[in-house]
Amino acid sequence: MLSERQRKRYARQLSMSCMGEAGQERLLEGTVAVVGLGGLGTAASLYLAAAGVGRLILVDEDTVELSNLNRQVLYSDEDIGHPKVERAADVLTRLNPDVEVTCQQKHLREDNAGELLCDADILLDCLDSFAARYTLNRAALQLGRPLVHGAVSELHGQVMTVKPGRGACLRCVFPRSPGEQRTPVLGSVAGTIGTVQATEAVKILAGITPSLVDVLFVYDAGCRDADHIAVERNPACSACGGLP
Amino acid sequence: MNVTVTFFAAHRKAVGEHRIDMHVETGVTVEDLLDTLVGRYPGLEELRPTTVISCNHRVADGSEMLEDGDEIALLSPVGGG
Repeated sequence: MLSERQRKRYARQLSMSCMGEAGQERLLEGTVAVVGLGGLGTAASLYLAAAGVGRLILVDEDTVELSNLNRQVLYSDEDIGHPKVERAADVLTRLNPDVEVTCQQKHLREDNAGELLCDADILLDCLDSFAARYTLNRAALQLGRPLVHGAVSELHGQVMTVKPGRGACLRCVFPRSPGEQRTPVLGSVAGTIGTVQATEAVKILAGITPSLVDVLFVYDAGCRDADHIAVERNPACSACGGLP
Repeated sequence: MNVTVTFFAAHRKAVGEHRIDMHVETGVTVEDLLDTLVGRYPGLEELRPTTVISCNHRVADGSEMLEDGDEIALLSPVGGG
């Protein structure tokens, strides 16, 4: 049951017919793991906290660097050298005290993914390498949790949602990694994609349909174009092919 | 018959255009079209291993036959965050 303060705080979104008090309560009871606190993860977590998602699990082992500040909007110059998860948690809990933030200053690996992510209802892929993305994709499949994948490069980005057992996983669509080179990124494009990911997570938690399950959303600011491409599960997929 | 081909991100940079119209013969497959495009735009060759091709806004299989008016798009996964 929402408090009077919560009714006021979230009035502009719970008055949406697709949300209502029931949807807002689901957000407040929900837990989202944001894996990677770079350009995508900082933008996504900002809007998840503002929307009133009850618990955020932040996973990133890095500390803030000067070169992060063109796009990682939760940090400022004085945060350089400090753990990203701690600085992000400070900003997010000041933004919305309704939100409980759990910091995991760790690198996601096959052998710790289950432990780090098992409490989450939804996983957000805000990582910066495909090797780590494949690890997270596999964890989502094993835990049976929805995964909202996002990625950016220069002026381009992509989002898709994986619902284990229902549709395509990340590896069905992208069986081969594009490589691990450091990619240039315009901060506002990372923000665009990160906020699309946040919207996906909010919709899934609140029960608002349709989502980007089996749809790859691509956005290219370089040519002012976007597309929604239908994707299908690959029965021979090396990640989900043997799963129900 | 004619098809439209849209290039996103790295493919757009390799080709230098966002969208082109192409005349193709009847019986041409998605893979044939990609061969033609790689021949015309050599920069697409290095992207080929990770290229995702869509036909009429759904991911296409390389053996799929093209039809008049098809809308093709080429893109690669991006990895930054």
